[in-house]
Amino acid sequence: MRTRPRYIAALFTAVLLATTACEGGDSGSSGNSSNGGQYPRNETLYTSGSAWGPPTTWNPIVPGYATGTVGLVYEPLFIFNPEKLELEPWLAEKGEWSADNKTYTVTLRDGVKWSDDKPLTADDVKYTVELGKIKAVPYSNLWNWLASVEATDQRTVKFTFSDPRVQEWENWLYENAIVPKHIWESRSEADITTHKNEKPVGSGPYVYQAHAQDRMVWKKKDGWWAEKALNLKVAPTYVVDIVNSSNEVALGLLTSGRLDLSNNFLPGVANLLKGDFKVKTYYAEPPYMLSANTAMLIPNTTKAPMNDVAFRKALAESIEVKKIVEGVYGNIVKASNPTGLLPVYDQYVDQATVSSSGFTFDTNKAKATLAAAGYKDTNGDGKVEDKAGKPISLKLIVPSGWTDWMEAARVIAEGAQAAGLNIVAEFPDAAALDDARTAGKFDLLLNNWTGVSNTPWTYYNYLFQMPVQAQQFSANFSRYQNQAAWELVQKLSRTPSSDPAYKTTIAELQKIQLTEMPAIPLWYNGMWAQYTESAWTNWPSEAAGAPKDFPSTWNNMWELGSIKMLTQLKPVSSK
Amino acid sequence: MSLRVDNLKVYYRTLRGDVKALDGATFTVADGEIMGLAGESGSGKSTLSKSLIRLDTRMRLVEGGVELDGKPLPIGDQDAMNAFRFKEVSLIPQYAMSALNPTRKIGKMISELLGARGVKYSEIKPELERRLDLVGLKREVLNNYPIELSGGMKQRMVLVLSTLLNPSLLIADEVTSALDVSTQRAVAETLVEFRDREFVKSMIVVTHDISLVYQIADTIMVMYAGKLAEKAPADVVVNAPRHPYTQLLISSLPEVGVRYADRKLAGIPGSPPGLLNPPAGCRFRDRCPLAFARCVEEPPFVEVDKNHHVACWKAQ
Amino acid sequence: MRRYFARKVAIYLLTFFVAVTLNWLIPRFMPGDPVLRMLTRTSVSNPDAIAPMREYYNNVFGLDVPLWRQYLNYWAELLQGNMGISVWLFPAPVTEVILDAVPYTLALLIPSILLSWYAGNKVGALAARRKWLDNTVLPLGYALTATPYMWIAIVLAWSLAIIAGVFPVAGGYSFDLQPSWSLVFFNSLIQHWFLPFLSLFLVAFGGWAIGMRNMIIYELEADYANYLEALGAPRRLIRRYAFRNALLPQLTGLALQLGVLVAGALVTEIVFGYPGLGRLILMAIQNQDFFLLQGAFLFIVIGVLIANFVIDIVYVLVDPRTRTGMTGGAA
Repeated sequence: MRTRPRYIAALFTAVLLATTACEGGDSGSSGNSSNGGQYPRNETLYTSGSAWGPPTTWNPIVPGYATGTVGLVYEPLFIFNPEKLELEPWLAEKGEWSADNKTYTVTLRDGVKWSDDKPLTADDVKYTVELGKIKAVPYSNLWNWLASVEATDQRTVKFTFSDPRVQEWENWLYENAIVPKHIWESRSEADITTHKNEKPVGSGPYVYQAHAQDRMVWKKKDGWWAEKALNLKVAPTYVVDIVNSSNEVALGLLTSGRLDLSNNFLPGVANLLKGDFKVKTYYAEPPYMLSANTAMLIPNTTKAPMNDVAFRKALAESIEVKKIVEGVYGNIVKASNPTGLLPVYDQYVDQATVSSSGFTFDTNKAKATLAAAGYKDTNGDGKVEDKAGKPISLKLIVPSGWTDWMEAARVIAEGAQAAGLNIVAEFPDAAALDDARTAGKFDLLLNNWTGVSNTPWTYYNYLFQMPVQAQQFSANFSRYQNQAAWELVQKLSRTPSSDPAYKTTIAELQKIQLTEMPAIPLWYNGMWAQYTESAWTNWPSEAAGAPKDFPSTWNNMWELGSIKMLTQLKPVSSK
Repeated sequence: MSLRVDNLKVYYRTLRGDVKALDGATFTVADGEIMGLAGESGSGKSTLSKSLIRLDTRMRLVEGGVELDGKPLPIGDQDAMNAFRFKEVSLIPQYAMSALNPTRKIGKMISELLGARGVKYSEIKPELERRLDLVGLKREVLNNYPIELSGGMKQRMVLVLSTLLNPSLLIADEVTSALDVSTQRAVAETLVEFRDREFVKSMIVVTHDISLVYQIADTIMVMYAGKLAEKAPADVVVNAPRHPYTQLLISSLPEVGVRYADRKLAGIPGSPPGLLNPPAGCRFRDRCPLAFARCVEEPPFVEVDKNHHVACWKAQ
Repeated sequence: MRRYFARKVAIYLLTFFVAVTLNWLIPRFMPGDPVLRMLTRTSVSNPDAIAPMREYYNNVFGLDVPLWRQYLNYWAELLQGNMGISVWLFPAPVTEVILDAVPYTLALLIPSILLSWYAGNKVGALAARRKWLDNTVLPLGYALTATPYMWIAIVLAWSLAIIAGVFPVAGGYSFDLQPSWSLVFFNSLIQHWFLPFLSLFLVAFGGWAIGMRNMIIYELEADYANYLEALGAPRRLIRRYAFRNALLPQLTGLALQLGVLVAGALVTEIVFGYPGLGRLILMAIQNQDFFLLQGAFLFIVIGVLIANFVIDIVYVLVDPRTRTGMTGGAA
């Protein structure tokens, strides 16, 4: 009786052992590092903040893949350098437009190999692009304006466009990874999007090492093409991405030196920086973080009074963004430029338009704007009624549990109330909110799918995309219809960055955005990144001489240059 | 002389002081004697019967002694007393229905109990089975759980178990109060039979029911407010009681054979004195129709007739 | 006896059937649409692609047939161990996702339930007879049992893992290890397991200890205990009986507490970043992955039912009173 529970405990740990031992993969070899681990600390980079669920798929075609699947294993033809605002050849050696912009020719690097030692050829590129002909592949819309793709020789691929959307194409070029035809061609059409693609064969610097419920482990591959071609070597032998269970756990791991790079949102990180936790961020001063995307207040313009531009303007004027930046975020974010363009696009901001048409926080002005447009408080409740004299009662929804946004929504509602607009914040489930946003069943909401990219075109496409569908999945949640603006967006997409029309088109769009206010830019969310220097140094930073790459493991960030961060890191010499 | 109790005083400890529940009892029970012990609630009969086998934690032996078969019974010493329990003094509790561990087979429980008392179950089993036969219980009951037995069966089982080691003294505490009339009779007869077969030498039958006790008891002892009032052969107590309390008690019974309820006697005005600070002298005097000046002195419990003891000045 | 078990099994099967049906039903009444979730995830911006993709995912999730058919299919698939495809972790099968997590949850739950029950009962029984133990165990027990799982987990994680650094902060085993049959790995597994286990253990322990202490005091006052004392039985024997009898209500309590313990384990896992079902369920809710949610709940339901069934059987074995109830008694 007395020994039985011990026996039970032993039994179950044995069961646990057996099951986890089967799950993890191939290696049973013991390590030789000081603490007995298989991944020596000074060769291993621990990251978190990207994955919120166990790694279950390594299929680069469908979002949801394990952190690093695209970036560390599968690579795009180009990567984008947000500092210089230009594409950098990656798998491609170069890419050239024909004079009439109708064709684009990619020349692949010589000697790029898949991790199974087969060469990466023009056929692989052609195959990957043609996967877009399958409707379930996320980039299937490429084929609305791409006419054909041709592998003219082993290293050359020629793309012919029916509609040469230069900017959109360049966006495609760095956002999508090339997959090996010799492995994928045996898969059925349904398999392409449902295959888990275990043990992925890619061209990148890392290969699959192991995974478990709470981690993804990548191991450095010998002979990555960029070592010769670009003289880039990734420093960590192992990259261990830890699945987040909560931001608090990430904080604990970070402060105890068991995590090198945390891309989690850690409220109060400013205090951590001041304290003796050896935590670093990109900037030493506010806003500490680079800006990753613009948080937008989305009015549903199919509903009154959000369909009235004067109302939207007054709403914009009623919001004290400073209070959000300081009060809610403790200065780890920045107030947005009225145009909503991210700081990386500063050079495109038309200052004249901003000063003439931009909005600033001014409750009295908001009141005046409302009064001038005919919104008056007729029943004396302190809140304005609509033009017909009916009370206005609007809901601003943000996902429950997103504490920073919930607080921000309260600040917004408070400002609106002060200006006489009866807006209250509500917090439905994240998924319910998704549905409301997709179906257009909301008054006001916050959204930030305005991430940094190669071009402001993605931002204006987000604002003005037409036609407005019954369900809007990725853009124009305001359901704002402006044919002129949409044509400008399309024009922008067709304009090369080098063309002077590129900047003027952006300026025209800014003017429309500022006068029409289809959505209200509020603040720039940070590219949350906190690092410790216990094992790795030379992190990206504003400091002179430090790398300027994006310090992020978030999906799509590798292609925006985060991959280069791995080549810049330096191990803290052991002992 | 089987049991000799000498000036036994057992008090209850309370926060307000000692409750003198048993305040000096002196009597004897002879070999083969079945003594009925009667009295109201609070008369001290339960305290007396408990004292003889196990003082509970609030009870304190103040004074006096008990001898069983000529040997002193260490009733104030729980551990020393253990050697006598079951073997020399045994008990049939009031709660015989629930006296058996519900989650043990009866035979198993008996064997464990005997084992713990240093008696081999296998050696005593034949005798146990004989006695089961005697009380009309099937031998299979040993393989049963208590819940599988009826109330009467459990009562008989406890009777057999309590007397299994042939104790000198058996205390039967309100053994019949939970039973129906016919079963009562059977149990009462079994008690007599056990005495006759010398399974027990002598017996104290604590009861409310004088009429029942009258049928089986050789003597009856009446207690009042922690003191002995009268002890005499059963028919004397019923037919010619000498203590005024006994007289009132008997006369207040509508007729012999009808139980009186456990309540203040309607026929006797007033109520027993509190035992925290009982008055000096005769404790019944406030209610006694015969009380006189001398009653402020405590009357001794003296033999007024052969085997007839009374504690009353008027009876002497 | 056989009839009793047949009846029990029937009741459990019925419960299982109802649970599975409810489990299937509830997500379908929740607002939200898994296909929409997938379309949102893949950010379809191509208007032409919406309809075919909707159809495609409807088919993948088996939503392209009438509800009654979906229900029958659900059972058919379930009996083959197939619980559909996760929306959140698309395209991973739910069964696979859950089976990866279940060992961790079981490794927390089973030892913490059994050990806390065992130790709580032992200590509670001891407390019932040692004054000094009673004076410490009783307030401690009340404090522990009143502590929310979340809170004790956070306190333990903060003090022992983050500040003292004695235990790891998160994970199922050290992030620099791969599963292997080595002492190092086993050691790491235990280290990561210990704090979540401890927090579950402590809260449950307090409740059992108090329960047992009160029960045994009650049992020691019971008639059978008094009778045995009057017959000179040694305290050891009486305590043994009292302990055994006091265990019975504790056993019933265990059956009743299982659900609470499971819920506690889920919260604890999240605090310690322990890779069990807890985080899966939380994320499944947040992502409206009702296939995964269904699967996880089904596992919990099955687990609780099995545990209850075992407790039922054990109860019958240890308590003759239930047994006479089913044979009709001998008297």
